[in-house]
Amino acid sequence: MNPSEIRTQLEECFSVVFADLTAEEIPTASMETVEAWDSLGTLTLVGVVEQTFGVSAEIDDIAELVSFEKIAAWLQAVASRQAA
Amino acid sequence: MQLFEALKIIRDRGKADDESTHRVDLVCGCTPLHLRTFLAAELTSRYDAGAVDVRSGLFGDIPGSLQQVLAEPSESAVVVLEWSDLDPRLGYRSSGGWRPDRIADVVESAGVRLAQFRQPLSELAEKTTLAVCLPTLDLPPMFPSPSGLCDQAVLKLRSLVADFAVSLVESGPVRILDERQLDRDSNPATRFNPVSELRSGFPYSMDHASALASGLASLLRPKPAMKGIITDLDNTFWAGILGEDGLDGISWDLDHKTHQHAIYQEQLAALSRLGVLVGVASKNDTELVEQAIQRSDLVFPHGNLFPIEANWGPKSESVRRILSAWNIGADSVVFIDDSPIELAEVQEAFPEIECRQFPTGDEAGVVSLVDELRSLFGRADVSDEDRLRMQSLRAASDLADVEIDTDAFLAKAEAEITLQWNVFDERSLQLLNKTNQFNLNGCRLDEADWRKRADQPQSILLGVSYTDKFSPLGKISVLLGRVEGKAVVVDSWVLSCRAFSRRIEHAVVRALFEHTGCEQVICRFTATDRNGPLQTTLHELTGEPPASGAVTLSHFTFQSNCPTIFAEVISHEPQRNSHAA
Repeated sequence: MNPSEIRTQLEECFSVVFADLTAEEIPTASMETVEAWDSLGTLTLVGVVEQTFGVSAEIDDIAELVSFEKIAAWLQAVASRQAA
Repeated sequence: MQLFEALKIIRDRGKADDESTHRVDLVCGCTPLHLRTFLAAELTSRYDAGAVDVRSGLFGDIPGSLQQVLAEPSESAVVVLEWSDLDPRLGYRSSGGWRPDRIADVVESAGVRLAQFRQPLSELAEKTTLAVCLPTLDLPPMFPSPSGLCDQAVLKLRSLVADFAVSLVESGPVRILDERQLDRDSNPATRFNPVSELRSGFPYSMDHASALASGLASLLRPKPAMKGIITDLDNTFWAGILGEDGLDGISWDLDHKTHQHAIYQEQLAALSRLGVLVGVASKNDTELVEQAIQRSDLVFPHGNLFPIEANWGPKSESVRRILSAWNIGADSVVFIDDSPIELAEVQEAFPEIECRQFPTGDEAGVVSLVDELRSLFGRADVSDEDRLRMQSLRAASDLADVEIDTDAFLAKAEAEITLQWNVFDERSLQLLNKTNQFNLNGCRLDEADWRKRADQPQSILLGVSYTDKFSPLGKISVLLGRVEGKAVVVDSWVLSCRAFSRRIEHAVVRALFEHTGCEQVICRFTATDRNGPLQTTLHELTGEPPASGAVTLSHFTFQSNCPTIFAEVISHEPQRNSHAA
């Protein structure tokens, strides 16, 4: 899966977890900017991302997954490791 | 259901105003997390409109949550209990409790806690629709018995929960999730997610949370139970073909290794006693069926079969008359037949009907079918009205007109008729000697007679095989005749009742004209007690009821009366004196 495909699918994930976000807001979304993104939101988002991408996030990873950009970068890193 | 899908269902339904929002209370000792999401999605998909708002209670405090809900109940409530809710020592999030000397105390405290839950749950059930789920996860490995040996304390705990469930159901309208059904939908070995349990207090795997929510939602919003079963008879209600095997040749018992049909009858009988309507659509002789269902060893009470449509017309016509007599929609009915083409024909005419193929010869398949029937027709409460429904319908039966498009169905059947000229095989002789309904004159032949006739000059021996996109029927018709001048004289002709309503008989007559170039087909017909379908065909083709003797059909009359034959007809070149093994 290339970076563009990852971002597209991740946008879909964000759109169902944070239904109030507009398409324009999703790429810049973070725990700081999205009111509904609390610890529960993180667990839900991580659950959706894990099922959608077939990956598993360690506890240390989850602590870092605090924005759309960071999740996209993490997914890209996982994809690169799997491809290697 | 995947979490993404669940969230999408919730998002797509959107927000609703207060009046059109369905409020549900979820009481559980764990973090509700994904269970809440899945429950909201499952319920959303079960409501035609409106959003679903699942309100969850306090973490680790089921008694407190129950008090909250009792004070202000929603339109329905779900209570999920796990072992750790009965005593924290039966979970993984408390420490220091897995001591052999404390096990008796754990069992006792679990019993006390269950007793505390009984009253508020009974009260809640009186105020709202209540679904309860009893422990779905394994007990922790805290008991001294070795693996494989059931520990006494474990047995006591399970017994406490079972007694609790019984007392709840006896106390009021509480709906308890069936653990056996849950076992089918969610693998017990993979239900527990220790990572999630220890880090966030949510003990379930995603798949288990989804299955649990689905089961609970189905208790709160069950699908309407189906109302009627229309069943075939031959090789479905019983083993064997009544018209060919005779009254004593059909069976449903262990001795004949056909007991699976008794199981099927048993289930139909049980459902019938619950008020489910059971009718018959069978291609059969009416009188013969009437005799068959009088057999004293029938498991199904024959008086409960209504209506019985035993005839040689399309099954969809029979189904239409049954639905009309019952006065219910096709979407409340299951049609069961062993023949794929009959199922397809009925499905084409009634797209809403649930069609199931009877798995003839497959005991496991039959057990699975009767299990599914119980699920489709099961109902929590059976009223006297349900039980009396059949009687009232019998009195009020009335037929309605609905057009069935047989041509459209046959046109799409992708049927292929293979004609094989002048080849003798044992199946042809068997077919000739066991077929009754479509039998030109009832004459039986032994092998010597057969070969003698077939070997005569100008003789015609025609074997017919049939297949379509639904299933092959194999050799289903045999005709023995001869050419005399400009006529074909048909001495014997049979067609298996499995192959009726496909216009195979018309294709055979057309082939006779085309193959011989004759101007007439003369059938040496004799009316018998059983060959009504054959008489009907001759009547249709000649335009008049046949009388025993020579029935003559001219090529012109045939062409005038023959309906469209949609099947592709493949004719194998004639061979003389060819004998297959």
